[in-house]
Amino acid sequence: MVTQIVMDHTGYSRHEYDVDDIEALTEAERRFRKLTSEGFTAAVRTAAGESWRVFAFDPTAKETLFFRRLVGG
Amino acid sequence: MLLFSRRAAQGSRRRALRELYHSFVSENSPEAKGRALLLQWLTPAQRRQFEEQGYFDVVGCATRRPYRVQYGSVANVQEIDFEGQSGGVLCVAPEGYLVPGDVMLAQKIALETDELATLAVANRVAPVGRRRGSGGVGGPDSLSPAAAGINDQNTHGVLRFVPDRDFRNSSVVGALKDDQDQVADRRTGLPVEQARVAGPAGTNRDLKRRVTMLRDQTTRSKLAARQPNGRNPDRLTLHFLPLENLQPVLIAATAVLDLIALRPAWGMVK
Repeated sequence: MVTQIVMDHTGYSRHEYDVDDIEALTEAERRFRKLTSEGFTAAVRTAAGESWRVFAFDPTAKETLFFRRLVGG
Repeated sequence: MLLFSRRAAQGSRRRALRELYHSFVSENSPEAKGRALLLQWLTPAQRRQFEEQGYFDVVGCATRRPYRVQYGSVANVQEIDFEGQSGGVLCVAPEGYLVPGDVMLAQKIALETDELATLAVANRVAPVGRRRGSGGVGGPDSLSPAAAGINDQNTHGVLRFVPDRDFRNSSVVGALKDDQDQVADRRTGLPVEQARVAGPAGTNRDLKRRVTMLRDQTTRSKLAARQPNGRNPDRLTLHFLPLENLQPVLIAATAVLDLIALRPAWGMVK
């Protein structure tokens, strides 16, 4: 199972999908493109907790996190 | 007896349900979810530090500079220099409303993956001082509430702190007064220099008199400058006029006195 996590006012929303399910995979890719085009930052992490940004959809990434662009407070 | 045991069973069932409800709410509240997500994404060292201290350190990917992310969502990122001393505070967060755990996670990822872009959008809050007794970088107390408060770009009401009540006796205020005196001396010269400007002085008494005279002149010119026409309505201006300007007035006054003195003689003539 692969997960996309989108930060929101409820903490976060999870979207899980199976990489073997073509339809779910297409939906996940569409969600990735939509969010990044809206200015969300996408990041993935290793098991050790190191994270890095991604700019293209990676179907094998176990967990992808999305958060809105940063602004000065 | 049977009735009593039935009531006790109902009470314990109700208590268990209440505890279940509270644990469900506390685990599924936005804050709890954000915190859980943050803990999942922290490195083991950061997680340990966060659980023990309430903050975690991240290292900027470009400058390798450490930052301390405190629990919170406003002005909670503290710059730390390479010697471990705290620097300014960064105010940067994702758009929209997010719970503190989410904000902290976004800050961590941003600093670790795109530090320069994060610094470009962040507002910096300069710390002014430190709480008494706190040395170096500590926990949430390391940034004093008396610290702080001036943002070089924006002004945040939440960051305006009231200074200590005994600030009038503080060394900071003393230093400020010294600075002000130095600035005043730079403008007008030192008192001894002022006296030298006034002319050669024989004795200390002469010197003091000249300094007093200069001070009075300065006061008078300040008072005159307050009035748009350069005149002070409270003191009518005779003593501002130099002696040579007063001469016609004195002559006229003397003539009037002479006339009064001659008046009986006029009567005799008549």
